[in-house]
Amino acid sequence: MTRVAAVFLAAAVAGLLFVPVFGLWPLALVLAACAVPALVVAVWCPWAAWRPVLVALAGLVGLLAAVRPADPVGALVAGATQAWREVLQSTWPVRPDPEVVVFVPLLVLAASVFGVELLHRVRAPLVALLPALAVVGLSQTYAAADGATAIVAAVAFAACGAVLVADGVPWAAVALGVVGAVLLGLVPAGPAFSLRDNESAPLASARVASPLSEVAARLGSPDTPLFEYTSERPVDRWPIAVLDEFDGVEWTPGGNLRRMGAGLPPGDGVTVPTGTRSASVRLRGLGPPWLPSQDWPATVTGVDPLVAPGRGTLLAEQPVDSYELTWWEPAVDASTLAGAAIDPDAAGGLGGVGEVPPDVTVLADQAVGGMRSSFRAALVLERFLRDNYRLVDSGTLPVGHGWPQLGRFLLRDKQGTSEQFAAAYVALARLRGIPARLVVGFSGRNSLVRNGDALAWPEVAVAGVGWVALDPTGSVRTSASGGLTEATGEAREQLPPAARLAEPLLPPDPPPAGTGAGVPWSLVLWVVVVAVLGWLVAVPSWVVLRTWRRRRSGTVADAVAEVRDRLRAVGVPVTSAMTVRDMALLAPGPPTAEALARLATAVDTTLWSGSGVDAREEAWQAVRALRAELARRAVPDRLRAAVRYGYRAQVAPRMPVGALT
Amino acid sequence: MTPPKSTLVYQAIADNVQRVVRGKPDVVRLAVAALLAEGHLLLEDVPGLGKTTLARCVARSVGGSWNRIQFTPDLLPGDVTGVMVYHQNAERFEFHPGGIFANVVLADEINRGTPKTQSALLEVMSERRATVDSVVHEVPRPFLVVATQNPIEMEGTYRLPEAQLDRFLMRLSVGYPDLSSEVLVVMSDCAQVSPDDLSPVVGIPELEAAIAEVRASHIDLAVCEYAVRIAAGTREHSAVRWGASPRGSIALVRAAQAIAATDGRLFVTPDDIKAVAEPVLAHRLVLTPDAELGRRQPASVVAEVLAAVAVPATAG
Repeated sequence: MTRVAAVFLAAAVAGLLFVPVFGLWPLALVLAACAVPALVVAVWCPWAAWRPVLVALAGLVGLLAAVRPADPVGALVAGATQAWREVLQSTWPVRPDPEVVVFVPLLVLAASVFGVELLHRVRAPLVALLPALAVVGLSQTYAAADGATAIVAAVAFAACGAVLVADGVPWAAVALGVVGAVLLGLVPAGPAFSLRDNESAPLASARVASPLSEVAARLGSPDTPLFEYTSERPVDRWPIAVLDEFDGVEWTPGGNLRRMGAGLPPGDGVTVPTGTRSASVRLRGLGPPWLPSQDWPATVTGVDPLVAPGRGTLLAEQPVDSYELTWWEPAVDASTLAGAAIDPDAAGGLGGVGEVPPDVTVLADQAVGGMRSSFRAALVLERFLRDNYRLVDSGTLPVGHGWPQLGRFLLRDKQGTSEQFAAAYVALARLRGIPARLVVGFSGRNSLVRNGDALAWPEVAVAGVGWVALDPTGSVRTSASGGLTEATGEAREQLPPAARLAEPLLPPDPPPAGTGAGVPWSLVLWVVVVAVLGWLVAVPSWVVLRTWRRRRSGTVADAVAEVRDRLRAVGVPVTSAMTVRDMALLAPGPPTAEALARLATAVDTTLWSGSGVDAREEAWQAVRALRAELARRAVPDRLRAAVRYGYRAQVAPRMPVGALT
Repeated sequence: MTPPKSTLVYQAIADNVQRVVRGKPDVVRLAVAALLAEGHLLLEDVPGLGKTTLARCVARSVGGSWNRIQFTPDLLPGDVTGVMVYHQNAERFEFHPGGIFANVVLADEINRGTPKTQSALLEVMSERRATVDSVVHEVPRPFLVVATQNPIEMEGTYRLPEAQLDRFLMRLSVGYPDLSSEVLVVMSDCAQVSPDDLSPVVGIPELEAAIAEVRASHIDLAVCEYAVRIAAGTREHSAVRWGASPRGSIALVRAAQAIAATDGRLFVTPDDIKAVAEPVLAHRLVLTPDAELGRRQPASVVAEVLAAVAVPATAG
């Protein structure tokens, strides 16, 4: 039973390496629901020929009882054939849909069934771990385990392998494996490969009109309702598309689309405290694929959208009635924001700008007053556009956002819609090294959003804060309810006049990479100390308990087992293929050999003579004599023996096995 | 406590043999154990180590009849089993028994006989009767063949087939004596102590009773299973092409019963199985060509099997 359980445990550990993909509890629950019934059947099944079928059936029944799919057969088929790709196309952790969440339990069940059969049919017991190792290999192509996770998994596999080697535990090999795993876990590594890097969710619609091109058209029919929302407080902006690729003609969205998983964290670049907000959105005229969203969506319920991670864009291929959106919102005060640096590593922030007209480059230098790239420089650029350009929202509205139209806007007409303002801002910011992107969406000043609320605006990447929306048109009415928009407004008001602008202080240099950051040395030290102390206490305690239990039973076989373990503890290489007389040949000293000879006589009389004589008293007298003799050893030797785990410590040399003739 | 009769028989024969064969108590013990198990014995070693002397000593120590057959290429099957001779006076054929009709038969240098002659001997060993001109002639009981062969001079010899080697309960090598034993051997020769000086110390009835007692000795099921697992282990070893047959398992248990009797016991222990495993099983193994090229010895294979099979009941 122990060895079968070890096979199941190894498969479960391999399955748990998918935790980054599915999350801990959703995965652990379905794994337990699948593996426990299968393990019970594997242990107690009396029919060896039917065991694999019965184990698989038990696992499947437990799994289906846990996930309760509407179409059980369809869910299992989808889990076995399609889930692997859907998982790669989704954000992690994935949504716990029945068709997807059965993927890993099916793998674990298959590995367990094959492992148990190998355990019963192949002489080398460690072969039974190969299916679980295959699952480990697959899990590593999804999400590579590192650090403590890899160490724990390696230790768990080593423990399972030790249990499988039934005649003894190769402690030296186990220790070597653990030390190797620890060292490998501490080696700083670069980004790990993942199959997800090459996968993205396909959008059914081959071509989608750019929402930036629709801004002017929407402003032409301003009363058309698009959607309405309800939230605790007004939402300043509702982005629907992030356009961060510009080739001089078109603005296009960058990044891959993925299926929205169970939830998204705030961006990696957000280090300031964050809070969550939520809103209920009901669509009334806004068609697919764009859905009103926020920069850092956390969860979406009521619809299964695609999402562009890091950009926040939500898309739905089918018309949507309503949905609930929760998003992350950084909390930062105006003074911190005003002195913040920009984040040059933000995804898409320093994308292309195409072939720039020469006069525009000169204009960009003038616009920021020669300041180096910082959030203050971004605010200066925003003020430049606000002060020198005019927003038009009625009459004949200018259209276009390529360099010909932007050049005319910047250098000649100096008036345009938010489309030209935002596009010109992003282009000028990038020319000055400020990471920026263009966002298209709607103003949220009213709970019922209409075409007239269509808006395009720029966002700049601020170190530690993420993307901060700016308003070069000066037309967006912001709520006075705190949040990033209000902090931006206060920072804007604190901006001194152009004549008194000064460079902000440089932020402290970040620590150089690769200096051991991320290695939890104190944790490693604690683990080592606790392990050593636990060993020093647990092994002697276990030996005392084991001896007491055997003495209480008092059989001759127990006496032999006691002697065998005592000899192993003092370093005598006793194997399972040795009789008591064989042990006597290796005994340390004639008195010990004499005690073993007496024990051998008792064993022969009791077990093999067929006379019915029970010489257990003589056997245990021999055990006591042997223990007394071993107690005369030097103190260091006795201490070493006291903490040496002797149970099943020696393996009989494995016979080289060939094909049966 | 009075030792079993079979133990007394062993001690009598062993003491008698060791008056001549010095310094080889283990070999003598196994040889006498083969006698008590009523199994045939093959002594294989280089010339001059006392194979024939040991065989003659064992034969002389038993009170029954004994014959010596010197195998040569011109030895005929009839010389072994006997022939039908026509008697003119009686005007009928009469059977003249060959050398095989004795309680103890010493087949010296058996590999110098032709395969046909070897086959005639081995058939009698197996069936304990000879068939001449369709007439069956029983050999006397107990019946023990002690054969010798020289493993190094292969010219003009005929190697015993594996199927016929299987008929021998044990194959023993006498081995070189140590220095003190060799001194004793030389001194015995100087004192002109030879196998011919030995007198029978055990009569046929006593020997038959001892054999029956050994056959009736107790063997626990777990020990029997241990013996079978060892025999089966030889079939799974990677260096073995053909392992020990079930006849080998039977021989292992019977030899263990006999070796237990030599220790004063009428029950078998795992130690007894281990003690006789190599002489009983090694000559029954056919190694793979690779193993033979690698100069692997069957004895080392048996040792590996013994080291890998857990002993019963107390394994852990």
